[in-house]
Parts: sequence; structure tokens; C-alpha cells
Amino acid sequence: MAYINLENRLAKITDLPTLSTVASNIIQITQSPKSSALEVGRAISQDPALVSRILRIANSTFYGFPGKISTIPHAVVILGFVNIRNLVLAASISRIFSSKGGDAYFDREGFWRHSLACGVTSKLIAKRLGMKNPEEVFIWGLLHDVGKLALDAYFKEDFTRVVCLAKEKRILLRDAEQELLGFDHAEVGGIVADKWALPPALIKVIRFHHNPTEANESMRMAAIVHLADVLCRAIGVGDGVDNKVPCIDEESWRLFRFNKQTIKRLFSEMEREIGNAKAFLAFVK
Amino acid sequence: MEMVDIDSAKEGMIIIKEILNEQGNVLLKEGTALTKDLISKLKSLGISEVCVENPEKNGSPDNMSSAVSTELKELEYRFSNVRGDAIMEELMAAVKEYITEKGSSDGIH
Repeated sequence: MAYINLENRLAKITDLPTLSTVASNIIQITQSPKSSALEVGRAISQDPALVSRILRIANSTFYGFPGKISTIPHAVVILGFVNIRNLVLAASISRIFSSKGGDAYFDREGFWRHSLACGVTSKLIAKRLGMKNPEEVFIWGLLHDVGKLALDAYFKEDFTRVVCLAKEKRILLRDAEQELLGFDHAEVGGIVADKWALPPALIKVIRFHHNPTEANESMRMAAIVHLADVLCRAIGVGDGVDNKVPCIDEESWRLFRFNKQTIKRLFSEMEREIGNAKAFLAFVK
Repeated sequence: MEMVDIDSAKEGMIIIKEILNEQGNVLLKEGTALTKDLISKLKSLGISEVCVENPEKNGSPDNMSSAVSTELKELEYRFSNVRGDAIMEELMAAVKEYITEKGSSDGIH
């Protein structure tokens, strides 16, 4: 079978948009410990549409300060750099793809529902592991499948065949991608994330969320998202294309040593938190 | 896998091919267990047949609420490609317990 050469094809997509200037600036600013809330606020204020979107979500029940945040500098102080960066990234990426793709073959809402559930679950796992900044982990889960959006938007014909095959054979989308294209959405996501100059750890998580052991120094992060993906599918928050649970990576599973009680507690927390995250769904849709 | 006439469809059967309306929008996604309400709704929308898994495998233990039994059947479907894998069996057992315990505590309140 003549597979598509992914790198060549992606290189030819001249209109694959870059991240917004504001998003690129925010990534830079929030990575430096010397940056101030004022600088972050100033960068966001360059984009009035973004300002109103951020204020709307900042005041939703998702963050627990309903109706109390009236300005961007206030939002930066209350929510913190990491949450603000997550919001700006999510807004920029959802905006890039809002006008391209999404139809009866690819359920965009189902895609975001699964992504959001993975973000929330990754954060819960990070909390359970005692990680110091679980908010950071939320964006890993939220963006792990961004390659699907790129495939849907820029490889429409091929992706439609992939989706049809996954549904017809009742297999995982990624298995259908490998069968028809010879690569999967994780590889595409990795290339797109690299092009956007996302933080290096996030690029690795996106690229290796199916096979965390290959992520080397970022294995633990990729394993968190991998586990979150499997747990979400286990309780029925699939990705809008297939409704199957993939096999968990054995090494990742052993890394955390969660017993049955812990997993059950996680399910309970997931259901509650996913329910609370509906405002975020409106934010990215 | 079998196509069954909507009049022969029974509660608990698992849909294995998504059901679309005339516009191509998904009415029911694959892996959904049919309930009485869903069957009536499909009839009212003019759906004449559905593709289900093992139509003879129907029914649930008497002591289980139909909501829990529906959730468990959907769970079996989601895990059907990974049965036999030790870790996945462990995970599936955890989900099963979670659904069952949640179902019984829901029943108390």
C-alpha cells in the first residue's frame, strides 16, 4: 500500500496556521520566572476577543470564582500564570481549527469532550501523585489529540476514509490511521506542536501519549496522559469516533501502582470534575 | 452482529453501528445499550432496523437495576477488544465495581 509520506505532506500545507502572536508571547513570558502579572496582562490585552473569552471562563464555576473577576490583571493574579497560559493556548488552538473540518464523520464536540475529560483526569492523577503543579498537567491532557484536528482539517479526504474504516471495523481510530495512512494522529500532533513551538515537554506528551516509554525523560508525563486517556474511555468518555478502550501500556501502569480502590476513587472524582468542566467546553467549542 | 427489526429490538441490546438521522447526524453512538425509551424514540423517528450485538444475549440478573445493567453491558462492549489482557481485566473489574456500587448507593437515596 502506498502510504502518505507525512513529513512531506505536512510541509506542503502552507496554510497550516501558526499560533496567534499573543499565544506565542504568552508561552515565552510565562516560561520565565522573572515575568510579572502585569506583562502577562499586557500581552493578553492585545487581543480584545481573547480578553472577553478569558474573563467569561475565569468567572465560570470551572475555576470556583463565579462573578468575581472583572479585569485581566485580576484574572492573572487569581488564576496564576499556568492557568492563564492554558487558557490562551486552548483559545488559540480552538480558534485555528474552528473554521476548518468537523462534520458528520468527525464529531468535533465529542472530540473536545474527550480532550477536556483527559485534561481533568490528568490533573487528578497528578494531584494523587503529589505533583507540585497539577494545573500544568491539565493542558497536556486537553491537547494530547490535537493531531486529530490537524488531520480532519488538512487531510480531510484521507481522514474521512480512516474514520469510516474505524467505524466499519469497530477498531480504534489510531489503528485505522496506521492501516490506511501508515502513521497516526500522535505523530501528526507532534509535528504540529513542534511547528507551533509549544513547550518541549508538551510536544513529547502529544507525540508519545500512546507509547509513553518512547518519550524518554518525559515518560512520566506521557504516561499520566496515556492513563487518563484509557480511564476516560473506560468510563465511556470516548473520542467521538471509536468507543473502545485501548490496551494500557504495561510499564506506565506499573509506574503508578494504582490499586483497585484508588482507581475507583479516581472514577468518582473524574465524574464530579468532568461535570464541573462544562464551561470549559463552551470555551473551546 | 445482526440487523434486527425495530419491533424485535429489546432493552439491553447493544448497538454496534451508530444510528444516523437523514441529515447524517448521530442519533445513537455504537456501544449504546437500548432502553425502552430509546426504542420508542427510534420508532417515532422512523428508524426501521438497528444493528446489534448477539441479539440472543439479552437480559440481566433480577437483582440488578436496569440502569446498572445497561451501563455494564456498554462497559463489556467498550472492553471487548482487550479481553484476556491481565491489566485490562483488572481495570475492567474496577469499573464494574464502581458502576455497581454507585448504582446501589443511588438506589438508597
